[in-house]
Amino acid sequence: MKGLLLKDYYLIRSVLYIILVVFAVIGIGMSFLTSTWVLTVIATVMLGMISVTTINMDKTSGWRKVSGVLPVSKKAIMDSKYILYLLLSGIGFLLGVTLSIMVSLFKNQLDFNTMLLFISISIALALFSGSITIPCSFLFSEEKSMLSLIIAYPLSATIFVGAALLFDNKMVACSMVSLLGIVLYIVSWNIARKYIAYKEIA
Amino acid sequence: MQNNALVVNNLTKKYRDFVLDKVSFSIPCGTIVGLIGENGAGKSTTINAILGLINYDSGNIELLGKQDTQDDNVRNQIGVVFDGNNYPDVLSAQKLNRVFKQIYSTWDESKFFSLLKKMSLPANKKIKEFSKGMKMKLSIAAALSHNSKLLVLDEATSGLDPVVRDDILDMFLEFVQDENNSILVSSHITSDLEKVADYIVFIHEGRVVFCKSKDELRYKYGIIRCGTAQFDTIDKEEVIAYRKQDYEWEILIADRDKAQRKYPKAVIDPATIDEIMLLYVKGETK
Repeated sequence: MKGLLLKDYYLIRSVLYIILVVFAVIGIGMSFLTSTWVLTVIATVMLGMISVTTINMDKTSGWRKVSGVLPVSKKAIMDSKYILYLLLSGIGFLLGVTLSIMVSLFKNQLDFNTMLLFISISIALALFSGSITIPCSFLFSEEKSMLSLIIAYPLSATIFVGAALLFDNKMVACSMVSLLGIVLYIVSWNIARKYIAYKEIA
Repeated sequence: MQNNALVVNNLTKKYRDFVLDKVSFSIPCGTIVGLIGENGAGKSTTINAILGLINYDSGNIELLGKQDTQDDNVRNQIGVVFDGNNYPDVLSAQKLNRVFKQIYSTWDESKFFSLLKKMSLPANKKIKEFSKGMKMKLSIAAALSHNSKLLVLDEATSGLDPVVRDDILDMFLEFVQDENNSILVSSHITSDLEKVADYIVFIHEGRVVFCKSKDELRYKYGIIRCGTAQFDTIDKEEVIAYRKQDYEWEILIADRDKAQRKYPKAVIDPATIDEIMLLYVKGETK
């Protein structure tokens, strides 16, 4: 498992500078247009998304087939991607929160409620999209799995809208969606271990 | 110690438009077995089933004496090289070493670097800057660096120039100097197999046509080249396959000495593996 994560670390490192530039451009722009706390959402989602792209990178490089003959279990291959997603989303989340706090303090606009709201949006959005895109990337071709990336975010937004309509309190709605995100991620991980891991590779 | 590194018994895999039908063969320890056949014959399907990359419908596979081919201990002892890309392009040999050190419990770092040196492969250069031959050599170096007992190579020499291919074949021969080591190699380039293989397994339309020692094919098999009049006199019971060429008949026989005694005036040439394969695929069988 450590070797698989190390390989992914090398893959991610090779594209990290592009991601940082995109993050800087989108993040700064969005934080001026909306709330400073949108940085947290962008950082969490963007870094999480990179881990999903490593699945497609594995397919194009031939590593997906090689990984099938390594002395690691098929479940461990699935675990490594789900763990990587949590690690990267977590790093993005911490980076986003730190930057948002710094910018909010600088602008003297630190609001605890807004912070909690965006934190729960970040967690829910990352987990929802991860639970859809990771299995889809394993199951489908690169083109189709790209579609899952595109679909995952509007789908998550729809769930947010649904929760907002159900609950009057924004915080309750976001907490419920975050909880649902956690449940969905666990379910997705289990399905991947039980079924997708044993899908034919060649 | 087991006698066979690999035993494949009645391996069957059904697809909608193709059936791998009861494939059986074995690889005795210390030998190189060449898997030949035209495109789509079932070579890669067989190898993928052996490696556990695809599920099979029936039959059984015994790898290094164990039925459980997914066993980590077994996988540590199998080196695999696929055609084309094997590793992410952004890695270097140095980084690959760090990755495999974490994956293979039997990874031999010093052996890996000595093989890189022997093959003149740079350790710090990214794989994307490697030529096809260098990539293939790197894959073979990695496959040989975890004390593999069985090497499985799927079209590993295709698309390489004769010099690189020759280097690789030398490595195969060196590997099987140890009697515990064995190789299964599928290739379109039958001349390579004629150089190194001990046994040839010929797969055609999902079935094993024959599994014979290379020496038997080289020294016993023959091709009678004759005109129509002589063709009519030949006992078809002794003929494996035949086909009509522009000016002559080509008749594949299993015992050319016997045929020469029976037809002293006939021209009987030794058969190459390519010719045997062509006659089986394109010729008519009795």
